[in-house]
Amino acid sequence: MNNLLEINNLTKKFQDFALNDVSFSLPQGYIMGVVGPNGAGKTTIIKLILNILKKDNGQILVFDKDNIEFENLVKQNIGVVFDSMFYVDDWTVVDTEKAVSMFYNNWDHDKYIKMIERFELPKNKKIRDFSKGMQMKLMLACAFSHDAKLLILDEPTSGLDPVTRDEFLEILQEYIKDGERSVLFSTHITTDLKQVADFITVLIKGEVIYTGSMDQLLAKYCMIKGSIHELNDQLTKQIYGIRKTSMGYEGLIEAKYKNDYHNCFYENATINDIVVYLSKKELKL
Amino acid sequence: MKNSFKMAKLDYLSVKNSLLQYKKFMPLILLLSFVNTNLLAIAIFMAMFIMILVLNAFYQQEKYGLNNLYKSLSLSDKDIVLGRYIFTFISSFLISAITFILFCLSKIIYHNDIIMQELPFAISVIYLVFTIAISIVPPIYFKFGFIRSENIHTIIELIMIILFVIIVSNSISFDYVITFIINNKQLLTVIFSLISTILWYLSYKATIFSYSNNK
Repeated sequence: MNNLLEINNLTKKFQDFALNDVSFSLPQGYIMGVVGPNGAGKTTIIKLILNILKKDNGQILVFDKDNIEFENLVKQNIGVVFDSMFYVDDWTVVDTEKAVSMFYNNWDHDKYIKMIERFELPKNKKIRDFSKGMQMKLMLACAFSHDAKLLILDEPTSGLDPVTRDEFLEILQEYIKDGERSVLFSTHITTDLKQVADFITVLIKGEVIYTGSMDQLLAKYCMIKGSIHELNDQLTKQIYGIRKTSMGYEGLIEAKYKNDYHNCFYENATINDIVVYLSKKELKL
Repeated sequence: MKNSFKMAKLDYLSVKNSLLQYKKFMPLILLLSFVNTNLLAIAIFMAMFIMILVLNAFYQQEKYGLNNLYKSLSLSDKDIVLGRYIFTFISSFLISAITFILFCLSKIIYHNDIIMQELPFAISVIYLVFTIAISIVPPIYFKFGFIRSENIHTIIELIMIILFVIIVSNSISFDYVITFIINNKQLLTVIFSLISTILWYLSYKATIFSYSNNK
């Protein structure tokens, strides 16, 4: 499998936060979700890929090329969508094309117009009058019009209504259909990932807790619930983010321990459960 | 270099609409030019106009998070910084040309002769005034962003004005300075141009350094 993005031992230290030894890779033709609570380092990774931040250590390869050494070349093939607009708000759709298209060798005007029509974006309205969903679509239209091979999205669905969010996710699936393109997608809305992501990287407090296929992650854990009287020391140690009440306990446990404890209830864990409970107990898997 | 010119165009597109509000200053500029035939006064006033233009580019950058746009485009740090300088130079050149035309017009209106030999000196004065006023802007604003830079910039300008006042008031004789200028115009033309060019070079180097390390 060809990797469109490869991150090796990436480190970036701030005064109050550090991204530690982050490594993961995104194969061609797939969508990867980077998930974690606020402040986990998701946006920091994206900013490091785009050279908005300077890494302290490690390596970032985009299309097998160093992201800084080949910055211009690499960015010809990257499309970026942030959680908030980064265009001047008195631009129109036409002004935006004028400003952005000159930087891309393979900008396709017809494709841009087609995307604008498909997204039903008004051509002469100022961006400031666009809804959040329309602004996201405009950024996507720009990304699609220069035939980006890698789409990098930072919390793109936060603030979108459920209908627009669903439409947005459908567009992403359609985008990778030909098997040539990939999407890296940071979010804290874990339900989005279930719908579209093939791979997932779980990031907690600047560290990669898991990176790999979504199905493997879901198979690896389950939720455990039971009576407080049956909770022993060994079980307590094995449960991530245990929550005790007078009624009983609940937490996340690795599925391999399922056969060791019979007097408890097990449920499938969701991505949300995994992130929430692992965040409570920061243990390396 | 090609990308830097594109960046300069992007700067123009970013500030274009907000510039329209400054057209109301045009009558004021014309009035000042014809009331005051002093080249230095006109140059200082026009330098303020360029300052507004350049600061506007930084203001838009901060307001709309345009740094994210720049870094999503096919641009290196050098392209971004050099592009802003090209935008500044082109703006300065156009406004210098206007300043110069106004200066010549005011001379004609007041029936003062324009001595052709003095033109290089006049241009070097405009260049120096513009350079002193503008070249400190990019290193500070690229380093600290628009909001934080405003205070730093004001303090630096105040210090420059105080220094200017101290130098002028402590000169043995201000007349002596004027006499010196009148007698050494050719030499001063070269010195002013040289100082301006060196200041721009230092400003560019400082900006590249601060922008690349400010991550």
